[in-house]
Amino acid sequence: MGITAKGFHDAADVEQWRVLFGGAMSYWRTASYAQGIAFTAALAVAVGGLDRQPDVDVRPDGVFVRTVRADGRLDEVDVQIAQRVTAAARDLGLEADPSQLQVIQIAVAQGAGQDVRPFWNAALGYDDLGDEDAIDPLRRNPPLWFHELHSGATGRGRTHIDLSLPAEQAEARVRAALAAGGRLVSDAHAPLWWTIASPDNHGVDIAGWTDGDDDPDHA
Amino acid sequence: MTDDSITPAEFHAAGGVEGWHVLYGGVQAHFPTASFAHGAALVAAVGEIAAALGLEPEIDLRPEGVTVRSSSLGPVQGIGTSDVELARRVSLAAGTVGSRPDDTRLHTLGIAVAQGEGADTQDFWLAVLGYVRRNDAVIIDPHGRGPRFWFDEVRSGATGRGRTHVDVAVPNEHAEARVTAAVAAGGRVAIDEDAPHWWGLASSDNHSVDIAGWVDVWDGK
Repeated sequence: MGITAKGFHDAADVEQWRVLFGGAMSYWRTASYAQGIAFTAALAVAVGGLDRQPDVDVRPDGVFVRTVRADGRLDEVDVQIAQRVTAAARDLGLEADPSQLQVIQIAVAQGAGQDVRPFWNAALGYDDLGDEDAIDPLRRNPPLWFHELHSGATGRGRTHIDLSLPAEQAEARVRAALAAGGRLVSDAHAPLWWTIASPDNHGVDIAGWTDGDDDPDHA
Repeated sequence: MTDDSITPAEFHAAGGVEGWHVLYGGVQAHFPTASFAHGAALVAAVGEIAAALGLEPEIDLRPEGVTVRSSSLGPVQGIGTSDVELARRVSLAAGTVGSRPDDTRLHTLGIAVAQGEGADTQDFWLAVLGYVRRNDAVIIDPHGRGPRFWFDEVRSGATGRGRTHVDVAVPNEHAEARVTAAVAAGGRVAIDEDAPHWWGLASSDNHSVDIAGWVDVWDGK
């Protein structure tokens, strides 16, 4: 049975994790590249025996870990992975920094009744995820979301960038973007998401909603 | 060991790097593994090789396998002779556990933001994405995970493909097949004057995607 983002956060020992586009994720700072390699070995042992494994990105300054079910939802196995990875990180004395988490998604607008996803999957080498999304099979490149073209009242153009951030980071990011010349198009849904535009009207949405999501339809 | 700047063409000519490709962000290869534990063992091996060479390559461990990406001279200077040595040694280490590079799922996306003549919106994008500047035209994720953003000037729209497009860097020998697949899925070739270096595609409703094979084999000219 699936769980919502809120259901995930209700579990014990997952305070350092955030639920963004693509699953539950965490970032652990390391003192050296070698420590990141060692942490990867330790967390691989820790999740042994579970029927799901996380995605791990080893970088010079730290390690990103993400877990999600194949259908893009979360369930109790993801909670177990998060708890075990957290325990492995604590054993090594690592500290989490959720402020480094973000996911960039490309939102492709299509006309009513159109289905351009097969083209995008073919051009990008992606796979379908559910009815509205497409993902890189190795989950290394940005996910795509297909939605119906809006009538353009805001003048932001047709395709926009969706930025998924930890809920507590979203508003600060909006302020930084506005200070850099951006324009607030709509805050009607804040703090779930903000709709902004670049100085020349390119669209960017900043989404904090995923992290506290309690919609049973998303479980 | 000195580390001298090399072109993608020189990287491929070096030998012992079959299955590796030069896409946005550096030389890279994907090694499928039989299990997550095998993948973790390969990560450990890459860590030892990297330490011996004084490099810190990006490693993406997935249940399906391990992807390694490196630009030894950093994100601005790019790839160097050390990357050849890293690639050779990683391929050898993977081979000892029966894993050979599979480049069929290797690709790197970039987003090309077109802006009006004289407009400069890079500061906005740096702020909203939390990115850093690579050079005058490209900004990148400091963690090397999100797509790079490239800024170019809006063209007059002769092809009607709209304003912002997605760039897909693929292994050179797979570029044309990717174009063929996209056309079979309802796309059209809007620009092919620079083929086989790159093709400009449009979806049936004129959204644009460029397929770039040139990145992988560029000779610096």
